[in-house]
Amino acid sequence: MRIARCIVWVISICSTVCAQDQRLFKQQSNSSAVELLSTSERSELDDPLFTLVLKDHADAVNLKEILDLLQPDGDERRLFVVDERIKDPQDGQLRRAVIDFRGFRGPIRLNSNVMLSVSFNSEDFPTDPTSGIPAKRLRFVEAWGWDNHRRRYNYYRLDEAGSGGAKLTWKFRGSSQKADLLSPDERSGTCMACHINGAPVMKELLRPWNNWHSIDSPTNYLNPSQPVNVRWPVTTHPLMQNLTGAESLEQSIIAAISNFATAQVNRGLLRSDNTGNVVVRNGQVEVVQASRLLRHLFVTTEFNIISADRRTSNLHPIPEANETGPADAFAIPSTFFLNADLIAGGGPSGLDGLKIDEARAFLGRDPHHFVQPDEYKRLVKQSQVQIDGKPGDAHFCWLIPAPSHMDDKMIDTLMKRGLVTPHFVAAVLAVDLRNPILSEKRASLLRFCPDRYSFSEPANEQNRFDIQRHRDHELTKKVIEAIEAFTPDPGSTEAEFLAILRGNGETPIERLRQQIEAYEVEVGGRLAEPATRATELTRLYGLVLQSRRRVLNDPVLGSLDETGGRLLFPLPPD
Amino acid sequence: MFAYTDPIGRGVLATQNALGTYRDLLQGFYEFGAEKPGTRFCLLGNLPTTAKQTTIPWPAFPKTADADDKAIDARRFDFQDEYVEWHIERLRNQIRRITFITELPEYYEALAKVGHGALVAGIVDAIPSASPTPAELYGLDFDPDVATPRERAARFRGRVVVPFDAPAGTVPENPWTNGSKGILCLGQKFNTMGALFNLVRECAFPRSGSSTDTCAAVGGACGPRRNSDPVICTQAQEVCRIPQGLSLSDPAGIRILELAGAWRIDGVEVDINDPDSNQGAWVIDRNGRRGVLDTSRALTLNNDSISSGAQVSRVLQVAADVVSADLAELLDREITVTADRPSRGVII
Repeated sequence: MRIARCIVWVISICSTVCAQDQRLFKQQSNSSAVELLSTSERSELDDPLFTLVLKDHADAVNLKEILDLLQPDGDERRLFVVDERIKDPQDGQLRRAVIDFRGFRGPIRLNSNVMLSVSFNSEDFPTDPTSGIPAKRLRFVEAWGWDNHRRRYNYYRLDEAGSGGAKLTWKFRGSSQKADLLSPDERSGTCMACHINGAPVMKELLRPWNNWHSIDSPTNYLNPSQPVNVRWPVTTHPLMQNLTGAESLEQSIIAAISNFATAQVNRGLLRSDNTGNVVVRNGQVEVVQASRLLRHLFVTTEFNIISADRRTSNLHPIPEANETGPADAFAIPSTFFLNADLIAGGGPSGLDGLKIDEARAFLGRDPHHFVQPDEYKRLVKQSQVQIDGKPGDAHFCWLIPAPSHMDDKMIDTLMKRGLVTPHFVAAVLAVDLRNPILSEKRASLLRFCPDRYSFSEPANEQNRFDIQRHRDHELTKKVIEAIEAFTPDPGSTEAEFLAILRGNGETPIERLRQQIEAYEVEVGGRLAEPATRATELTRLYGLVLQSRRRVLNDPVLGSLDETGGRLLFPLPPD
Repeated sequence: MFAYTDPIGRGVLATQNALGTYRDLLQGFYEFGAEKPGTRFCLLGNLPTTAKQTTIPWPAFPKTADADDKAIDARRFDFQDEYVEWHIERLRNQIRRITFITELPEYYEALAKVGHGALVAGIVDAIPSASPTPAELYGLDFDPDVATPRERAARFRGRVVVPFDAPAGTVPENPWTNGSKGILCLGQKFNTMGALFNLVRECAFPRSGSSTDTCAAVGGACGPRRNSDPVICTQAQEVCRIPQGLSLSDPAGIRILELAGAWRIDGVEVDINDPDSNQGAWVIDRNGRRGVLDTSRALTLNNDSISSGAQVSRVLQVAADVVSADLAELLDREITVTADRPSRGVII
């Protein structure tokens, strides 16, 4: 997970220091002035960090004090570690830690509702901003908290900005409200540069959590149980006793995204000015911010990183060159080929999905389709990919940007609530099945969606998938009308989408299923045939590189790489 | 022999005079684990009292299942392979209760060896409403009162655990554990005590290369696509490289730890793992071997109503405990081979 790293420091006029400064500040971006948060602005904050810490203890700038205020029970804190150099055990490095909390404080649920992000070093865990010892001096804390009343995430940062470097002060750094509407320029230097939709981000959300300490990639030098010659000195720090694998953070982030998705969908429905309740007329509810909600279906608003299921490449150049190669053959991740999580449903991400079983374990059942260790070594070597300027691959094989759980969960929630039909979703995906992320074709179709329309909640799952419900759905009708009015050219993306939506002779889900079957036969056939296998693998690996580049070059998504293009994805030199 | 404790912790083994039998059975597994030359798997008796215990957690969701949630629920013995299985009770098509279990059948085998009455007492202790008949427990044409202890245990086991070579779709016949009338103990063919010991033993040979690749190097002892096996295997490998000797902690087996996620009852957030505030919605008992989720009230997980056990299994954490100590600290005690070793068929 990343809470945006602020790079540019601007010293503001607010530099008066006193020993116990209870003032809470605000700062929009790294380059903005630091200003005092007004009383009315403070009254709009109601997340666990504000309520338990900042409301009455804005002077809490010692990490131990902050943690004690949030969760006094040290056993109920968990510490997760991420770093693109996590495989390097050399002393003298920094690592990024995420701290989350379990349990409740009174009525306030901590788990999934508040997290901190700090740095530590191999020698010590900085907690005291006044320490004269550099390794012990706390320099910043980044944090977010879920405001359950306003249904939004609030972002904070504790740092020296605005104090002339004299001391650390807390700043409110913005909320998730309307974060999705920000332009790349507006995001720059703000927390929303990384928190694109405003929700917590854990890029490597699902197994095998590349770059994280996890059950699939234990980090010995962080493990207090390892011998002294293996572990870092920092492992004796009490906080390190709470070291936990990323698999547990995954659950907390999934819960956080789920909360956010529900809130976003509710926010997009027409409400009564008098009561604030959703207006229901003749069983129909009106969507008033449709394009914001539907954007997740048409546009890649975020991405997650996945790789071959726990198969280490043994080609990772950190800490030193390694040319061993994978220990065994592996299946290419299904989400490389298509949006398998959403199309199939189920699986570790737990979406309801479209229930098209053919997408699950796509090309992952037949060992003939698996990539053999020597083949993978060849692909990596021939492509001349590098990490940190050194030839080599990521720690795990076939690392790719994939559809985000954020987008998938939004789409899933829209389907479950009835705002879109599964057939509508299938039609959109069918337009460009083989480009699970950053599809220009899909993105070009969003303009046909209405900003307002009405829908009724499906009675049950069967009703949700009912083709007649799809045909009667106002969104379907309005989109068909809009494309018809556009009079698309035959063979165009618009014409294809229109034909699938109308479903002449076959439902959109059936159409998508047939596409998937044909796709698997086509690629599987080329992989199974010795004469075409090597060429096909080279083609597929070329698509891997292409998708990595496209993400890094995207003006919004590229911000999630905080390594300047050196460490997030293996790529050949320009 | 090490004084292995009752894994369920309710004293039934002792009151039924089955604790000694259970200990003999366990000793066989530990000896199997430790006997292979070169492994750093130890008998518990070889570890000093200062040995360190490590908990190895994993999610209960069976990620190897190429199926949707409903199918994972319905085909327990094909899919639920993470040392966790579950049983769903419904009322008018609505899920009312989900029982997750990690109990291993050896506990009941020990009771069966003592006698039919002891076995029934053990079953009733787990399922208070149970009234198992001899035919249900052993099959027809079997008189438990004249059978030998070994015959009783074998017949019982044969009706609760799917044989390793059984085809997909095979369901054990004992209705008190196959879901017809309840769920008693693990029955999926990979969820066995023997598989657990074999896994730790094979992964406790020091190897070169990444510890996470050990699973791929030990053949059938480790299921590389499961949540549980690679995690246990990696941990065993890490420990033995320190170098330390290791063993499965007493009581050997799998513990239910906790549920993750955001839970609400009637729309109000609750700490589902806190018995004082969860209104009885989630109860872990039998020493962490049984967890019951009561869905009779409006219970939601991450804003979704409960529609399957697989859904809950995604947020259910279970764990095995291993205990380890530096090689120099291991106590040099001779392995005593008992007369009651599990057969290889049982082990694998």
